[in-house]
Amino acid sequence: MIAPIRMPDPWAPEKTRLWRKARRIVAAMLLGPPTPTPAEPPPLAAWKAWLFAAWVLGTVSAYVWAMLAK
Amino acid sequence: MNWQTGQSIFAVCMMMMAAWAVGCPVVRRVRVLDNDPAGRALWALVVGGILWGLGLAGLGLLGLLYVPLVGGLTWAAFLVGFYQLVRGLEASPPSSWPGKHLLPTAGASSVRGRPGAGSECSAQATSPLPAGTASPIASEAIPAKYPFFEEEVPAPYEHAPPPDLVAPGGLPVWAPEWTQTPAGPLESGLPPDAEADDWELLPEEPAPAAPAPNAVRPAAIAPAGRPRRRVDPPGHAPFWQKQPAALWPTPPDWLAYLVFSLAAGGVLAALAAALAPPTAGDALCYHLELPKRFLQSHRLDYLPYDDACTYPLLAEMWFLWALALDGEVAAQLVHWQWGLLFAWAAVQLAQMVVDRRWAWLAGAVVLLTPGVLNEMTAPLNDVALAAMTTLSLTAWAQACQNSVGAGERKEWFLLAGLALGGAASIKYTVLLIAPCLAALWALRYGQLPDCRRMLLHGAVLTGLVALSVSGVWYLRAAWHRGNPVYPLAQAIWPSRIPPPKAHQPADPSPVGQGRGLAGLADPWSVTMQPELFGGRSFQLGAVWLAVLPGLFWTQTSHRLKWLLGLAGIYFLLWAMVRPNVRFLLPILPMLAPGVIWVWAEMRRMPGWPRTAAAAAVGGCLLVPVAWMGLRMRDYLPVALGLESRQEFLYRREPSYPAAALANLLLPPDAKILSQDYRSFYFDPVVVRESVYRRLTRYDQKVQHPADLVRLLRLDGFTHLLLVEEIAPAGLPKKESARADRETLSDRGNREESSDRDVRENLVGQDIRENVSARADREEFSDRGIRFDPTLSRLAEAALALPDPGLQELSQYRFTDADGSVRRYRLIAIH
Repeated sequence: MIAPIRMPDPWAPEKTRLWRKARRIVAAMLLGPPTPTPAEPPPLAAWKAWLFAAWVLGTVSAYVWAMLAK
Repeated sequence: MNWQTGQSIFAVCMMMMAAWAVGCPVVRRVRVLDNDPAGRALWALVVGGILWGLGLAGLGLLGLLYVPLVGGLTWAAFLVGFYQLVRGLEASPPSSWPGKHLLPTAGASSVRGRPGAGSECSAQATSPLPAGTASPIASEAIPAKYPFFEEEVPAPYEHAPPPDLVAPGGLPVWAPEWTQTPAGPLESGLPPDAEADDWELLPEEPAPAAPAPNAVRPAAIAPAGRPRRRVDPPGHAPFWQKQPAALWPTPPDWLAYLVFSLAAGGVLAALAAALAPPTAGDALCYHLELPKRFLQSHRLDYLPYDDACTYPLLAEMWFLWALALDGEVAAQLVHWQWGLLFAWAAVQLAQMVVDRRWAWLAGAVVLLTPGVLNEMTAPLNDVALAAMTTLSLTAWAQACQNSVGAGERKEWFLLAGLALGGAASIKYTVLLIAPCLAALWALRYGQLPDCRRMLLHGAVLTGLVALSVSGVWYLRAAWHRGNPVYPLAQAIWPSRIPPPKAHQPADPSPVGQGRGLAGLADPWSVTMQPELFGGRSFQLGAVWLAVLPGLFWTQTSHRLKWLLGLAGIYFLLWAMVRPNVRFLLPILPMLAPGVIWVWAEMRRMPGWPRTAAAAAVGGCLLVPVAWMGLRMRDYLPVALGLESRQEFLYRREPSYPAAALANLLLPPDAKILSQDYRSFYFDPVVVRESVYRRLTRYDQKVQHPADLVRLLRLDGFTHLLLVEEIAPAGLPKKESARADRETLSDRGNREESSDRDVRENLVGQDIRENVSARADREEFSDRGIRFDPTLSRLAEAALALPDPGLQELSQYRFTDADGSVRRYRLIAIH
């Protein structure tokens, strides 16, 4: 038995052609051509990662403290 | 939202459309932007803004600054722009949209759920299906009501636009002629500017995998006949495709959603604040005051008691435009809109270093800077200046590239000149960006011996264009002051009028105190103690200091290194010349790609440190949004119309009660000598006492209290606005109240011994000079507001006389934004 063809959900277009074009133009402006996915990069050394994380945490903490303290 | 708010928003939209309508014809002739619709729209707005500013300045010089004329011109340009936009969208010929040539593509224009229904390279896809024609696929099963039988079906795309969406020239409003005339060169197979080698026939069968982005320019239109695709020779691809090899995948969705959501929240909060009447000191002092005076007199008047009247005033011309169309709120929205353009310009610059999706993140990071968001809420000019300098740097860097052709290089130099001229028409601090451009140019001059002649010509072209755009302001300053850059460079061009002390070196710079290695701590000081550099309101936030050191362990590109090097040059100059954190805004677009680079490289970090660092950075980005959200609470009622603008001003603006009373009681020809520099809301002419004192030394001529009234009357003053500090900023409420009582008590004692007070008021010259100098500095220093008490003391002494010739009309107390309590008195001179 051949399965009945199931109709796909119709694509719901915008109400006007102008609106659709405007939407596509905005999308084309915001996004560029796709870039290929690069190869998996080598992982960062753990000590470097922790050093950077500590720097970020320390800096942000000091900033928040400086802003709240005054 | 009430009618006033909607009217202000509409006025700014009109201005943007009018600017776009004027800038578009210029920008469409620049072919280097053909394949960058976002850049073209941005440049059209910026160039249009510059041209409108120049036009309004021309009207002002001719004495034609009449509101009906400005409004009529705006309406005309608005309607032309709107017509062009709608017509371009509606009536764009099918040939300007590649999708019209082809059946739905696999990437974007496919019938959902029907693989194979649209294949970019299929033979049957060479022409659009006529309306009502059945689809070759299962046509009998699909009702004809579905619109995708009449034209291609743009399927929703998730991450990237379909390649056929990026038309040559992008927005087809100004599509090249050859795309608009079916009988033109398009029929012959190739566009006129195309070389045959650039085009290759598309295969008959569906194309294999997506082509590499650096090889194919998807924006190209396939000429008529068999479908072709444009193959760019190396070195001629659009600049955003000439990235270093893809280093990272596209930004993760969660990161994009997070950053864009935060940026949108910050921008909306800034919008709410910008919809309230302006209360920023500098804005009420001259950014809005000057345009108001110009509109009142219908010309660019020279105001001798206003130092700023001979500054470059392009931003003020935009504010004048907004004042003519609506009012001060529209002017404020103009600067808010420039904040968006600044972020957009940062995206353009970042695209030279990172992928476009990451570049938009860079723009969002710039937008999430606390100082930028705060500046967007006030009609100042720093954000507009930063946008202009960023665009000039972008165009300049493009022009100095190795791969661009001679024609393209000339166009980039032209754009750089326009943006640089626009920046020079806004603020003198454009001088800080000039050495950065020169350094980049010198590097390329040394590296490209074959292009030296072109680079030299390009630099001359840029300079000429910049001078043409900005020259009017410098000529005007030279004409009135004898110094084109008044009040700077007094040693070279001594002006006829003594400059304010604020522009003479007074305090040692807080940057790099101790020098040597201590200078390395300057970025830390700027981040953690912005109050030493002009105020917390314009701080840069911690994300730059926290993230950028991560570049030490990442692989960076040459472009990024050079961008950071230029940022370093700018920072050093800033530290030496004018270490105010507001003037650091142009550096942000140079640093933003570095931040994005580190974010992208953080995927190499192990899980826990990456999570910790990401959480800290996220919190850092949240700070400005939360800050703006807190500020917004006070502005939201007036923005939504729940509170009238007048009520808001009575509540927030110290000078407004006096201004409202003066506007009600005083004749139009009244002239007020004011200790407060916030004079925008006054209809009568207001002269700042500090400037008047510096130029006339009237205080030294007062030998007796009665002399004051006589002198002021001779100079045409009819009223005084006195401001006395009752409780300084920073005092707790109890101490403030005590200071209030003590001040009143002191006043009573002084009234009893007027002779002694007169002697105190007529203090020695050395003290007066010190006070004058301090007042001049402090009014521009952003370190809180202080008013020189000279006039108050003299007037107090005169009031103590039996027949003082002064009559107090009103007095009130106000707690200012800096926390200090002041007494305002409006006094009539008889």
